[in-house]
Amino acid sequence: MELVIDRLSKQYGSKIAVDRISAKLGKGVYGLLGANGAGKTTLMRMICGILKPTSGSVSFDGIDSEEEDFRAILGYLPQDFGYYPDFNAYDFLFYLSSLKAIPKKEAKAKINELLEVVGLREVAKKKIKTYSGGMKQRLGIAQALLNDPKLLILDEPTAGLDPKERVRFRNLIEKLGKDCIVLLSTHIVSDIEHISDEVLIMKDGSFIFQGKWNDKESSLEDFYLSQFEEGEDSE
Amino acid sequence: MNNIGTLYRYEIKKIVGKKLFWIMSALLFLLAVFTPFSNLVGSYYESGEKIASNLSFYKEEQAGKMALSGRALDDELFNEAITAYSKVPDVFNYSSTEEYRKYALAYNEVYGFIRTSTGLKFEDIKNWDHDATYVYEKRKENIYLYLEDSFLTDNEIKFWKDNYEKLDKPFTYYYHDAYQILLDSFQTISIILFAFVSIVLSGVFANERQLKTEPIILASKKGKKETFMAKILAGITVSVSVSLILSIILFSLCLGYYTPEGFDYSLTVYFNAATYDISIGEACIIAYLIMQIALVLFSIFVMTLSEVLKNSVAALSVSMLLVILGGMISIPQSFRAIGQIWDWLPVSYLAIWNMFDERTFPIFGKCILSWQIVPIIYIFLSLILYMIAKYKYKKVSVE
Repeated sequence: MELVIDRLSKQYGSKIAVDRISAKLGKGVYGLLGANGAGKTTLMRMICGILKPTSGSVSFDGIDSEEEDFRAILGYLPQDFGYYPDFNAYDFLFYLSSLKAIPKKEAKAKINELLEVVGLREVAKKKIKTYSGGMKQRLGIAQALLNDPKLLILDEPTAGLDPKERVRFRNLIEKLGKDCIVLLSTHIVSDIEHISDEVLIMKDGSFIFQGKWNDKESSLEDFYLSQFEEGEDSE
Repeated sequence: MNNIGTLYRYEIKKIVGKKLFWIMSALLFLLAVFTPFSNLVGSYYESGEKIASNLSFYKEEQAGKMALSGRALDDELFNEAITAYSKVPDVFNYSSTEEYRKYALAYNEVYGFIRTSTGLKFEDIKNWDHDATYVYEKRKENIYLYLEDSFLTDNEIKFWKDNYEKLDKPFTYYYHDAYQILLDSFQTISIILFAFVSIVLSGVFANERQLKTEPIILASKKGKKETFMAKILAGITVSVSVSLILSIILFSLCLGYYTPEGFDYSLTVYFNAATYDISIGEACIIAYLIMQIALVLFSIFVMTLSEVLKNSVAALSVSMLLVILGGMISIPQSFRAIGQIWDWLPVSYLAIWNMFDERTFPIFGKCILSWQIVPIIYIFLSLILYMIAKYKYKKVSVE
């Protein structure tokens, strides 16, 4: 199981959002840190195959990110998770199961299981528009897990979750990371410290750090904050 | 798992789940129910005084026309009509007189046939000293003159003249109100259906971007090919279903209330200039069937706009503008090719005078009538638009 990112770049006019990033990720949880505008979301979208890169490629066990087979092993929670306000949670998940080509019977069982996991079982038949921000985020997490993904891309998954939910979610991710590749971006350094096997820090479209943070002497939070300060100084 | 089936059902749910869909559908339903009876509502006034209700007035006319139904448009019927009309006072507003209502009302269509065929005026017809042969000769002469002045090719003129010669004469008069109402309502119903499709389908693709659901759809296994197909099929299903229901309601009410009588009434008698060898009933069926095909094309067009523009308001604006322009702009007949292309666009074509006009499509020296070729062109264009939208959707990138 290997995700290969090969010289991946994205350029908007004269601005380089992602600059020739290369990485090989195996099983485990990867925490992606970076200030707003560092290129995290752009990188994640390109990995998911929904944003066309200017150059470079992404593949999973040799399957290119533009192929249907790549999307079959992918679970994705976008930063700004969209939903159909008039659908209920069950319908929404069933619709996404169809999009993910999960057989009906299997989908029903999986939906019930995930609704339980994310704590939405009781409100599964209520319209999503009545949900709180945290409930919507949990629904987003559930949809990303529907197809038992081998590659899970989570763009700020803990945004909107209360502390209790965050802890529950961190445990879930930790468990998932044992069987698949999880790439999650967040601003909450403690989330990364707790569950990440490796840390990826982005700045100006490039990785400025990639590896296990335990090797370092200073705390991850201090390093992360120092990058912000450097950015502000240079502005 | 039949994913397409499930995706298709959910796409339909997304379209019909909106309040706007139900409001528009309710308005269409009311329109379909009201249209056949719009002329029967209210009363008939003369110098501010109520003479009778429009319904009772119509009932008299209907009874008279039904009594004449099935008779040949020949000397005997012409003489009856002339005699009836000679009893009507020679005043400007003669159709408001008691005599008109009593004697001539039933003959107004027969009388109209004589007038439009011969070009004679009201006062001339009252001094009638002609016969049916004269009426038919003059009719033929006028139609041939019309054909010569219609910027048709020599081949087309010959085609229509030959067609006229082949028609059985004398024509037969039939009471045909059900079909007349269906044809008269055709353009209005079509424009409103186009507006409905524009409103309901302009968000099919664009709304995914606005709701921010596009990334999770596109990142799913069946999020590209199958989803696209499901969306297009759902859009077509909704628009054609609504149109079919509307057409069925309209046909049922018209045929139910006004009776199905008159199906065989020749279109050439109803439409003065045309020399079509089809009946008014067949024309209704052709028109409403073509409307369904035109709606398929227009639905795909609106959804393509929705995908290309990625903005439901922009897609709605462009499609509505085209609908309005189609009803407003008329290109002079002298610009034959441009005029024909414009009039054959779905937004213009769904008007009886365009659908059954004399301009044909030449194939190997044969004149193919518009209603024979236009549905094929629409299906072909639908496929091309489908391919364009599919290509565009496949290449979509969440920028």
